[in-house]
Amino acid sequence: MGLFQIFDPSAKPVPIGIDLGTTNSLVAWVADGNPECILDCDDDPIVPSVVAYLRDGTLNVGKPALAYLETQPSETIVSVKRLMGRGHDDAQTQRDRAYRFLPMQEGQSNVVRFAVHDRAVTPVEVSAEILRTLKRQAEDKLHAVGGAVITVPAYFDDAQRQATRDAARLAGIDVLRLLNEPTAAALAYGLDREKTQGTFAVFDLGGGTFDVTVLTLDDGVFQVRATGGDSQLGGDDLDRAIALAVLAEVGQQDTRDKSLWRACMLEARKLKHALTDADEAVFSLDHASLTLSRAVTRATFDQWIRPVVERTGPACKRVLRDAGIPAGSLDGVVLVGGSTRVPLVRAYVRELFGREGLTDIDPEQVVALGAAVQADILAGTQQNDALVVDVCPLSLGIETMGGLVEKIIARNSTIPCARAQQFTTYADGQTAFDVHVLQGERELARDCRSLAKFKLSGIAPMTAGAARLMVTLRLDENGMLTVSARDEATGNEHTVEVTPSYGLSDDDIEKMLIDSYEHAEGDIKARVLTERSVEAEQTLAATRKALVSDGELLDEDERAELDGAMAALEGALQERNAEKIRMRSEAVDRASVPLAERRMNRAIRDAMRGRSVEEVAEQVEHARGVDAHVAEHSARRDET
Amino acid sequence: MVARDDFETLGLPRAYLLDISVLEQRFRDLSRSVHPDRHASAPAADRRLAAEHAMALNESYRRLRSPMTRALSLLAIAGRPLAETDRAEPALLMEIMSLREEVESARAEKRDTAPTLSAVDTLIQAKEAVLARVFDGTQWPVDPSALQDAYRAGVSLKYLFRLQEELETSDENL
Repeated sequence: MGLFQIFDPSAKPVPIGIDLGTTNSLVAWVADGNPECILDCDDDPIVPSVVAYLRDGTLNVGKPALAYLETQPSETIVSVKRLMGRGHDDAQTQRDRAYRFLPMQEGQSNVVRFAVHDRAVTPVEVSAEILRTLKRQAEDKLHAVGGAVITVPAYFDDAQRQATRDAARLAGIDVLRLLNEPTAAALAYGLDREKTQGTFAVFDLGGGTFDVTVLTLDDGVFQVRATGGDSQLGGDDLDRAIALAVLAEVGQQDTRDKSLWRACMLEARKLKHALTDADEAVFSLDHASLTLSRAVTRATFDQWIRPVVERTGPACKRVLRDAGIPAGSLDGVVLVGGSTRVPLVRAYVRELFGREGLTDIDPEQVVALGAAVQADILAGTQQNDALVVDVCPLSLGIETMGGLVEKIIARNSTIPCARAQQFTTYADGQTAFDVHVLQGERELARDCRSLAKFKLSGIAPMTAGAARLMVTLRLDENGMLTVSARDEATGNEHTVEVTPSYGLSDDDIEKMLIDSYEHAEGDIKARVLTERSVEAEQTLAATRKALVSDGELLDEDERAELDGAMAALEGALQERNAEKIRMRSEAVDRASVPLAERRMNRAIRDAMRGRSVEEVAEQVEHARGVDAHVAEHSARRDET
Repeated sequence: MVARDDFETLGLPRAYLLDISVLEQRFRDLSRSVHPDRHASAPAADRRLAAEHAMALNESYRRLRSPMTRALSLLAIAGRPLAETDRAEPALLMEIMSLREEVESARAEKRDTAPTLSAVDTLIQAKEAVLARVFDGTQWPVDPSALQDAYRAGVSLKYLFRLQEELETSDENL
């Protein structure tokens, strides 16, 4: 980094990576090929994920918000990530002691609503405030910020991912990708890939979530084999265990005093930090309703937190089994997340995997750094050709007769993926069909996470069992779900109106956006025009680039049609007519299909021609080790 | 989009015995070409197409990776797909039942279950040998009587793999 930077107003927007954490959040970018975290004015990369809503309607985010933790515990929101994508009736919501929640009104979306002073805020809005702060911090350094990769726990379900997307949208951030946190960490570790080859486990214990992922690094491809975890387990739970243990010792079982509970949790966290290095530390509380000072040894501390730490064990074992890789065959275990600083956690990892965890990169920064690398790759700014191939963490299924779940997409399927399932009618003349989409591993629908319900209607009346309805579940590369349905008999595509079981509706988000724009720029029409123009410019730029490199793949007529469509779009852009821009963008899109198809076919041919099967086999012989244990099961049979 | 079978998608010869490492390598090579991230800054038509190809690739990879779905894929290509309702021969069903009972009683009496598990493995290997004989290095279309053998082996494997999985997972849960 130079001593000073010259501000170039025409500089390209810089893509950023954001780690939106339970306790802390960070933002990073890639400078000359190396990812680095962006520091605040105190040279600190960490923004505490805390938002304090003040009586006068203003708010504080990050460090300034910490001051309000004890004085106004109900209006100072911490660990909001735990409530993302959750309903107001969730057990997790009920367990949260510090806040006042508003009951759900008739007709409202099922989301958590904090009561802060005289208004209601949802976790999505709270997260959006944290994202805005991070974006501003990045803008202060980079001036123009482009799209962002935002990390989420690998074990986040669809509702939690959607909530994160909604928060980004409210914050005015263009999301390039939701990236799983352990995968991000691996990406940061695997940069120097001359040295890094093999199969690794990433053990990620953060403030509120736990993920464990097994992945193979091979020649720049990061292939996730299996992932698992617990989206409600983290450092917060260690703090809670400490606080409860100390309070129990002094006979204080009542945790309803919000201010005392907050103070205890803060002191518990301090004790945890102190005992990372020291063998003994003091838990001292000086609160209006309780004063105490207690020396705590590492041994006592370990005893308090052991049950929480051991909750990570089953997920680790399951992931190794799903990946088909015994712990002994791993080439390394990467430690991620602030909670992996706790000595007992490290000892437990050693016990589980039989080796010391890697901590070469700061466990608190590694996820943000990896997110920045992925943002850089996706924005195409650098010639980094690493590729992440990820999986879905949880099975997706549909409720069938008797409340059972039929799995359609199995957990740890590589994404993007699409799978279809055929349904039929069970009554004569039936013209509509209810479909309930669920996520989770349990057999009963009521034990899985409800994602959405929808009605397939407009089926031609027939005898029972005669209709053939193909329902397709699709997971995109963000791990997010879309559903489509087709009547096989008529070929009719059915419109699927999905009502999310949890989370905000599009209308809610739209209204929040309008509210925030009322304070800022105002006119929605202007916003639509701006958004469409930006998209159209991107379409034109991408198409021109494709034509420069592969224009010869089109014949004269096809070329003329595409050129014509592009010229028409340029005209619409000059007229500044939003509707015309939309229609002509679609025309460019249609005209570019032949080019896209030929480019894709050539790429596939090249990939196949690059190596014959024999060459691949030969290369594999040399590189045995990476996949040997994976192959063992089949190879053993091959020999017989 | 051209409909291709799983082996064509991965650029591999149709065969039951497959070196998984070769499959993995092929999958990664092709992912480098078709994964949507490789087309992130390309026109929308390219991105849609990439997503479709990646989904097809991932699905074929999933099917070829596991022996059971690989067998199903081969039988489907050969025109003799397995149906949900296909039942194994009574003799095999009896054998499976007695093997299951054998493992249960061995566990109850705290005896070693390994001999029974390896008996299951031997049965599986015999059926797999049939599939390999019929499909590997063969001329397509597959000879009808050989295909009938493969079909029967496929039906048996459906039961045997399920039994093996049951025994292995319940072993872990003990």
